Amino acid sequence: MSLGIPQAGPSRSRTPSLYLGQKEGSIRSRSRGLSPSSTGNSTSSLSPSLSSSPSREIQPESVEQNGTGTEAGGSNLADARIGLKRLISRDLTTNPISKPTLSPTLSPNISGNGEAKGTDRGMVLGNGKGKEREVGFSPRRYYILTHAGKPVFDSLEVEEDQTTNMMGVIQALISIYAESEDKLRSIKRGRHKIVFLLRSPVYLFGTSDWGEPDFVLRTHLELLHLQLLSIVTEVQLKKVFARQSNFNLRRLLEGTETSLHTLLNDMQMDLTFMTSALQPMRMAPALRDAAGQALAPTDKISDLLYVLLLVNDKVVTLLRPRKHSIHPTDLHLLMNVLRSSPGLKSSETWLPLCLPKFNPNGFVYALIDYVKDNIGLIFVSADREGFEPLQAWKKSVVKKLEMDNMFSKLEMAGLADPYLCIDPGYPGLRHFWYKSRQNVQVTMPVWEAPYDEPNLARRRLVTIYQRLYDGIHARSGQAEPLKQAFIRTDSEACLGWITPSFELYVAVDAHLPKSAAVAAANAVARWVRKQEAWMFLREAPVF
Amino acid sequence: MATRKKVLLKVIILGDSGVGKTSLMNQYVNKRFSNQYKATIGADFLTRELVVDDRVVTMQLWDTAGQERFQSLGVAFYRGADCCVLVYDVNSSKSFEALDGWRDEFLIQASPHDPENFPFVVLGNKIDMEDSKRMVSQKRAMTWCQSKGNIPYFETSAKEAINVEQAFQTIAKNALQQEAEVELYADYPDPIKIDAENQQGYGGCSC
Ligand SMILES: Nc1nc2c(ncn2[C@@H]2O[C@H](COP(=O)(O)OP(=O)(O)O)[C@@H](O)[C@H]2O)c(=O)[nH]1
Ligand SMILES: [Mg+2]
Repeated sequence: MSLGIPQAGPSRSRTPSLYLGQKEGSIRSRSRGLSPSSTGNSTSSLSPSLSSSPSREIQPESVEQNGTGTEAGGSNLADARIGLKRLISRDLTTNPISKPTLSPTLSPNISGNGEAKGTDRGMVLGNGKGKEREVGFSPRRYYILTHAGKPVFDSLEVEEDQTTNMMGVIQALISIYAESEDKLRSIKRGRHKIVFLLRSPVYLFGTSDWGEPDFVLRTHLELLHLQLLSIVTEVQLKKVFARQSNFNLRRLLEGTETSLHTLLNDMQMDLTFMTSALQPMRMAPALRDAAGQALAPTDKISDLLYVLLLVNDKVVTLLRPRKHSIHPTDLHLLMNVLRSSPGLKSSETWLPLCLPKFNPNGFVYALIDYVKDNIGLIFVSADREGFEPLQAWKKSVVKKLEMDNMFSKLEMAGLADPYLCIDPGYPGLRHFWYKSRQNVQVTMPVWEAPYDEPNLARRRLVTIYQRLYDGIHARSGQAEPLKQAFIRTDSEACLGWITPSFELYVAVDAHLPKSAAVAAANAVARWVRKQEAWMFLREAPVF
Repeated sequence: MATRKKVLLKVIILGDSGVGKTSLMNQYVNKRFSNQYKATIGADFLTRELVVDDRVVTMQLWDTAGQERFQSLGVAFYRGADCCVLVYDVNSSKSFEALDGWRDEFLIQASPHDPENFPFVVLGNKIDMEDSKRMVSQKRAMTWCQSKGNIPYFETSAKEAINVEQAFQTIAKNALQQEAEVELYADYPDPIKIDAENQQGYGGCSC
């Protein structure tokens, strides 16, 4: 399929953002609106092939301050609102509050419209009139606290006293809303936002000035919560807090925070987390199949859950029992643990962990063996006593793989896996990502300049992708999803496009017209489809 | 496992409005006293680090107001406290007589695991004022404390910084005892049976 297929239906315009809660001093929630753009792009209209419905250019103004906030209501919320105002009037992401309070005496400026107007936007999108001001994109910050308000985790790990105070304030705010059977979901002020995730007995929140859609931070917080559960399990957490509501979870987590930090670093820049998809290694299908066959258990190994072969932290093959599928999120969590613990690569390990999407209440056990620096074999079992039989079997598997010279073949394949964005052969293409919807897998080129470092440029591009994704999937409560969406900045022009079989996001040079982005998307789609067999893991063996 | 992170203690301060709760906290944390009266609305938080029995401890002090305003915040505020400080003004019988109510309120709302042994500390504040003004004798206060299971009692002045350090040191020490460690890994969760029928299936990666 290409973009050239005409689709019926006129393109409908949409009302721009509207305010919902306009109570003075309230937390404002604002519906997300994608307003149709007419601000003179060099291409004034969609190319004919793109004039499908619905398709829209996403305007920055309407996207900056959006999402579902909380609806404030009830008289005892007055203090909270004031506290919130005060809280968010400081830049939480870089400058945590020193002595927060809910006292109105310290917050003289409580009336009036505290919402920042579009003027403090950091990212100038649209037609790029005037100078690009790249403010914003400061490091996000993520926190976990207990439902008693005790700090558990802080992604920046600094200024503990201030953090401790803030946790108290946040707990208070959350509680106030909880009492009125409302859930505090987010607070926004201009480009700054705080998003909450309440998973009693823990609360999580994150702060950002990136201008991303709400679901992004919420997804991050969900993953952070799941990674926490992978360490302690949900029942244990619930049990211990039921027994002791003042439990100091932070101390229990000592030594495991690295996995949380690694997760946060990676998931902010990695689109596979957001889409809950896998990016397998790109390799010859025959080699993948051969590896899969070598790993298939010949005898029944009881309680074996799955077998994983990784090269350079990418999945070569994945074997599973016939009746169980593997949730990609569990896989991400497991792989994150591997990435965050170099020790696991130096010696064979038997690691208990919880895969919360599989079962949040129990541990599974992973036999982890890096047979080469960059080649890992992972066998996951539900049997706590299963180490010895698994180890014996693993030895025979390794022998078999060695005999077939498989490890050096895999290392070679690993070297050939990464590809560049020039490979689809479209000049001006800077980056893309492609998700096969049937396979729930993605592929993308390596990040090249200016995106080669997890720097501002990459943060901006990932955020644009997320906004396109948001429009295409109507993640912020839009009336209907878009089939295509387009965003232009001073630095790049990006197109998002969804079809029944794939979704695709491309970034091209900023000066190129939209028709070029469309052409690039078509080129990428053709190129990826030609080598789908290499890109994706299609028939993973079952046992 | 070596304890790298500091212990965090949540301490709640209760008592009638005007007895000097905010002043005591300010004196303890900021070494400052102000005569200005500012009703605390909702809650205020202060944090101070101290050493107790060779351990570095962070005290998270929750200053609350003796107002119905505060009571609407309910359970959540009291939840997970490690120690509760009851404050009255030695020059006000009414504030002393209110202590029973504050203690009950705390026990109901916080519902600590072991209410009999939950650490309280009582502070009789404003002892710097003229003796003629004093309404509650030390003996009367101590009798009450004894009857409630030997609650430690201190007579303080936030204004003159009398006994404030000592009182909070005791508060931290008692809170620390309450903050026992739980061996989370002692009880293993039930093993997972992957062949069990009730295992949730999910759409996901069909690879
Ligand atoms: N003389 C004297 N006045 C005090 C003392 N502590 C507090 N005050 C005063 O009592 C009033 C109420 O104090 P405040 O800390 O706001 O009480 P709270 O309502 O319990 O927080 C203020 O005017 C304080 O200056 C004290 O130890 N001695
Ligand atoms: Mg006060």
